[in-house]
Amino acid sequence: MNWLDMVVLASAIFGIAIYGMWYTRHRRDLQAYLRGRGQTPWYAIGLSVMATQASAITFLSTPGQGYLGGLSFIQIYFGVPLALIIIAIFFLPDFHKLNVYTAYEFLEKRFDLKTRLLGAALFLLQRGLGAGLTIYAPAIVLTAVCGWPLHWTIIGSGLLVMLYTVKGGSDAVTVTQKYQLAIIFAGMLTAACLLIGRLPDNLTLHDSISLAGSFHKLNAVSFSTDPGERYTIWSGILGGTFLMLSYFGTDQSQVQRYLSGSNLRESRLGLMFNAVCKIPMQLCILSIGVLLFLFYQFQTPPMFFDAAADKYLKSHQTDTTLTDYQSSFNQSRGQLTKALGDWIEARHANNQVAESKALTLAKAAKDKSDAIRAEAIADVTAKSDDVKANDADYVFITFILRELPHGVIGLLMAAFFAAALSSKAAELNALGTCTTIDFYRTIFKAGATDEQTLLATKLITAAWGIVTIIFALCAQLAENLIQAVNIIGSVFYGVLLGLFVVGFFIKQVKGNAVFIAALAAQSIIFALFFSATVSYLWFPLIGCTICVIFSIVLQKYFDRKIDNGDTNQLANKETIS
Amino acid sequence: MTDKDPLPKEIGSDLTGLPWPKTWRGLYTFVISNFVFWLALLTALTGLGS
Repeated sequence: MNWLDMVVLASAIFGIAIYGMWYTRHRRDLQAYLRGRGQTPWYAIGLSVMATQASAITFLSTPGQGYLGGLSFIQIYFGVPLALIIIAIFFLPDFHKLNVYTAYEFLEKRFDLKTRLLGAALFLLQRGLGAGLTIYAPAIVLTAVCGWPLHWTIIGSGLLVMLYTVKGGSDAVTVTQKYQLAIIFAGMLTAACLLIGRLPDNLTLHDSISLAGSFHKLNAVSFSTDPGERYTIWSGILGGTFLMLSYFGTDQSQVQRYLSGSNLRESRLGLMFNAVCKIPMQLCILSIGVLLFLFYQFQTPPMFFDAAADKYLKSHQTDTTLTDYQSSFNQSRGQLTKALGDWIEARHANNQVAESKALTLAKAAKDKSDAIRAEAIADVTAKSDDVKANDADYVFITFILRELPHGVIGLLMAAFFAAALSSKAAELNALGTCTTIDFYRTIFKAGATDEQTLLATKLITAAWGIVTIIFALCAQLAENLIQAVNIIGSVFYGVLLGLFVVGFFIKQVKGNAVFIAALAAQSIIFALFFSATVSYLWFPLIGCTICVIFSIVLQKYFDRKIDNGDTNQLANKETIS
Repeated sequence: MTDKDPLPKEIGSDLTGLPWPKTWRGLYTFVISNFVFWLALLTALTGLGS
């Protein structure tokens, strides 16, 4: 990065933070701080919901997913349209009618206080952990770019986001997210255009599709019924619907975004905007990964994308094992590039025999280079604690730094940080709001005035900022970043969704039954998670189903005991809402 | 929350206020159709690779 990149990056980071603080300089009432002034139009809500979900991890890690695994990751978003329609029809009217600050207030109105607190606690637990990863991702970027120590980068970026969020509140989050998304899309579009421009001149669109398809990078939809296969159309539609239903319907960081609308119509349209745009948007981001794959078939990629591994390689030039890996890797990549050159020529000459032969040679060369790379990564990972086995997160950033011109590098860095700021701000805002409204004002200081609650919200938000920084400092990920975030969410979301599904749809179930059922279901999900026998996409569905079934069975049991004259039950004291 | 609480007027409205689709039912149908379109496109793309 040179001075131009730094100017672009610093202008975006500090400009957005300062703008957010300036815009909300006159906000001194609790309502505006927690939920905005209630004047947000549907398109701003839609962009805010989109920006909250699309963190820096999305833009940093997803192209790496596309590069290594092709388009199959898109299947996780198949549940978005149906989930958002369900929320728009069933969840939103009650949230608006009850005029809630947090989604968990609904649980108290429907069941009781302990169920509300359980729902809020599940949210705080998973979002607190997830928010740590949200700042871990941009910290990796800056570490790779500037060579700064990872820990200090996490602390610095975490404190900056914390300052902006604590000062700004909900309204600032919503208004700045519009501009942050503009920077993000400008950056990604620029990168895609430059990437296409760097492909060989004689590689046509048809050649590109054929080549990407030959190496299984276009396998977007899998109809496999193997439960161990992570991304399939079934896990996407069934599991994905439950995952997205949980995320958009019960996660306060999202609920708070669409409740900032002036009425139900604005909130609904904001959600439908995302229902239409989410899949094409993710496809575009994954396609950048496929373009990266094509690019690196004609240019020799680094053997290690992880900057720490590359640094290790350069500082151990006397290690003959590593230099042997590097030379063998370069040799096989050279063979691959040559074979693909022959393949293009044969295709354009309509020589099918030569085309098939060249493709076979190319695949063999690629398999060989992949095997060498895997062996080298295993070797370096064993020798250095700093090196990660999964370097998918570094693919896109490596391309940006090595191949793109100055100015554009700064723009993309700004895009990553804009994404990080937007989602991080919403998360901290939600964590602070939930802790204050669901715990502080309910248990610890029930009679707090609005001024006291506002001050408490700011202090609690700051405290969450510090907690998430600590989580980020402790993050040691074997998984790809974006998968890690989804896995954490999946472990808790199912039961949380189960509470809401019972609340909305199963009127005969009361508080005690659903509370015990939720605890039992969460225990089972933990057991499944640690046994690692089922893809994480199924956890929300399983957790929700167990919670719902257990609730019904337990309620029938309680009802029967009441019918039998057992007075030692609390169930009959509960109010049915 | 009770079943007797009256719904605010706009909650009961079936109109989106958009030039098109005018009703919520129409909007939800459009969203599902849009999903089916992308699913078909992605399935076709998968077929190209195999």
